[in-house]
Amino acid sequence: MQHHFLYSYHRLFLILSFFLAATNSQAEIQIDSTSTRLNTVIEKAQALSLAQQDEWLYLNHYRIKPLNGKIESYIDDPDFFLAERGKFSPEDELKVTLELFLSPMTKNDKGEFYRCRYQARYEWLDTQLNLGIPFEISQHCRDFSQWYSALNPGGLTLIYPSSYINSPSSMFGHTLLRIDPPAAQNRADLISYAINFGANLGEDSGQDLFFAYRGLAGGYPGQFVVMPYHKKVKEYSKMENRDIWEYKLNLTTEETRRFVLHLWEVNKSNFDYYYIDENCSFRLLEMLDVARPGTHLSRAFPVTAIPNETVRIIADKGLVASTKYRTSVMNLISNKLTTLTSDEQDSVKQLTHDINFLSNRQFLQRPAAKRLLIIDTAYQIVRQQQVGKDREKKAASQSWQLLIALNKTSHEGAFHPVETPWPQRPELGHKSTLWSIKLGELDNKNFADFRARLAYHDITDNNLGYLKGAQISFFDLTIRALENNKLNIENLDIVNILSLSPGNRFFPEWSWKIQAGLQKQPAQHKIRSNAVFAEAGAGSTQEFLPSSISYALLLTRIEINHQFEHNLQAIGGIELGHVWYQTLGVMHLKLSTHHLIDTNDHRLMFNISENISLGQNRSLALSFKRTLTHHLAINESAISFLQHF
Amino acid sequence: MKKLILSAALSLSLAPLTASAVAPGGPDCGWGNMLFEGQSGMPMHLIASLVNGTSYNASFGMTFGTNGCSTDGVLSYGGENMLQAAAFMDDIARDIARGEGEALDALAVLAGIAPQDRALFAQVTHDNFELIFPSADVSTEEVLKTVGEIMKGNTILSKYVS
Repeated sequence: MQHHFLYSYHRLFLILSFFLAATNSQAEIQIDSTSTRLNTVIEKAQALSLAQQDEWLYLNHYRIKPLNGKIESYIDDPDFFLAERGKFSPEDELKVTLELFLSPMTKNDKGEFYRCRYQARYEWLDTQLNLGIPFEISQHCRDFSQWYSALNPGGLTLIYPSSYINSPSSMFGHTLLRIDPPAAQNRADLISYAINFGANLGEDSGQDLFFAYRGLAGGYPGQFVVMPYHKKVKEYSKMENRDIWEYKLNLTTEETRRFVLHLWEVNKSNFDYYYIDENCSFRLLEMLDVARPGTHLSRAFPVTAIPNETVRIIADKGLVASTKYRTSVMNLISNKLTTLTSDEQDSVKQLTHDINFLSNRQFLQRPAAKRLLIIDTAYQIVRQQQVGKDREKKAASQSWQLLIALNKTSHEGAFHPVETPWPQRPELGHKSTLWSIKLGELDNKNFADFRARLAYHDITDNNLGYLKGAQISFFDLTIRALENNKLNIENLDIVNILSLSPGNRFFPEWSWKIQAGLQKQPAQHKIRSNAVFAEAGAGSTQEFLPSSISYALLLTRIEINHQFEHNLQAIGGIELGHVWYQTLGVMHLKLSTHHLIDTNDHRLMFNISENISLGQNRSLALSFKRTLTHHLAINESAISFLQHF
Repeated sequence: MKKLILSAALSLSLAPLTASAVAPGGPDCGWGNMLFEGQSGMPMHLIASLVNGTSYNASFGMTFGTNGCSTDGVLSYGGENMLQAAAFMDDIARDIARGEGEALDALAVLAGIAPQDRALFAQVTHDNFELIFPSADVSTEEVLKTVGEIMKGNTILSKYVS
């Protein structure tokens, strides 16, 4: 309503000024001088080829399309562009922008001054062309000024919530930014603002397959949303059990300001959103390119944009001032439990059920510092068990009584917080694409394998910077050359995910795997028969030995194999495994069985592999595999060289 | 010094909300929340988390998309939104119970307390935990009100409350 009113008022004003101008020669001279000025300015802009400058290209998110070599903006929103062909023409957009800036009192159809909306544009053009057009931001741009002072920008921090193994969608991680107030103000991170780029799913977002397809194929517009950082911390730390890495960037106050001014420009603008490439990571790098145009972060980005690559690029280009690690509540609980004896853990368990245990004689005999730790852990467990639930009166009362006890006990002795050791920083991890050469012997015949994997991490890959027990692999192809010089597809994993989470005694977790693709498998009397398969498994993981995990999974598998009587067979099986994380490598032992239900045949497979790191992105692997069926006994041993890039 | 901040929060919380008055910041903003308020509905479904999506109404866009917690209007005391504290009140309660922590620091900042007085604020609230959190059903407004009263009674902290 108000906008409408302003708009009509504005139109009235225009008509009025038109009449005034017609009767006032002074005004004519004004208009004349404006148009002369415009021509001069545009000529100068052309002479300096400003429309081709990086700053201008970044401000409008232009890129050269690889397919036809034409310029086009990533922004998919007519409201953003001032020129009709602005999305495709940096020159047109520049011209219209200058035109509007030279008449500073013009507004758009939403009643907003162009100078309020496009301040990053103006400031850059002003430095290039000395425009010096007077305009009172604080007076004319109230919405902006309120927004800007609430954001209170002094610096930026890149936020990287790392993946959590039991959440496949998180396995690629995510990146967002946080606007920090000037350091001198000494405020608190939790109440700073986070800027998240994600798909805008609309209000009534469903959960069907179409939805998934649109999410991946780019059916949703992407938008920036600003929200308090504590909401994001809650989402990742408590809801999704993801640790958060915070990289404070060394941007100057001026660069931060430019970033925020540009953020206001893309206010509500729709970008294309694609899961694989045009995602949060890419978009944030583009925004940082506006802040500091010389570093060309977005151009350093590989085709498939994985969020941990963002962190790597930002670290490589020297943008990181300092790093902070924020443990998820679940990891915090697990860490605290490891510092407690099993007897003390029993006390924690008691307290989560029965508040009267606080007056237990044995419990009271423990030193105050230990009681504090036990009560605090019990409190966090009770709270964590409530995540995702409506408020329960009993749990609320339990939580409150635990806090009363915590408070009383803390007056008896000091509180010793449990320090969580920092894992290796994610940007120190290996890169996500892999190629490898393998030489070996199968059934007394030599072979050579050539392998390429698009993404991302195998359980035996160098674990530095990655989660233990997690494997996520997409499009992993192996071509085998045999002694007879024939080439065959040995293996193609479309997807191969392994999630081995030990959990803890309060929050037990499932372990599972999903794998699908092509393989050579022994069938009947044939050692290597082509098989198309899909396999899923579920089970449990335990930490029996230090630096190791042991797991057991029940498998179900569907396999199409021409050696089978009916082509297709359902297969049941078991997989037992042990992963040992060493200082310089990873050892994986695996015993798996396949029970072919139709033919009543079986396969028994034993694998051992040792992967030795030769650096961040290079490793050497030794492997031995023995397969037994009713008819066959096959041995395969090999040595391979692996390179990530 | 931001004397106004807390007093504004207090006067608002003292006046009962009339039926016609829209709860400041919107109904989902935490006004009237009890301690240990439920968190259902927060974990986004698979696809939303896959594309890091938001299900907000598109019109929120660049405004503060906080599930109804806009900073427009009555709640932006100089940009500070005391009711933000409702969103992490369980962490604040834990921090006050043990006498330190990030959530408690954030509350001190929201209350406009200068860095040199924050340790004192932590100490004073820690000593008065049972007064601030008299039951599991205490509301955010009651908590903020008691904190304000405790500050008034302290010679150094009283300057932050008018």
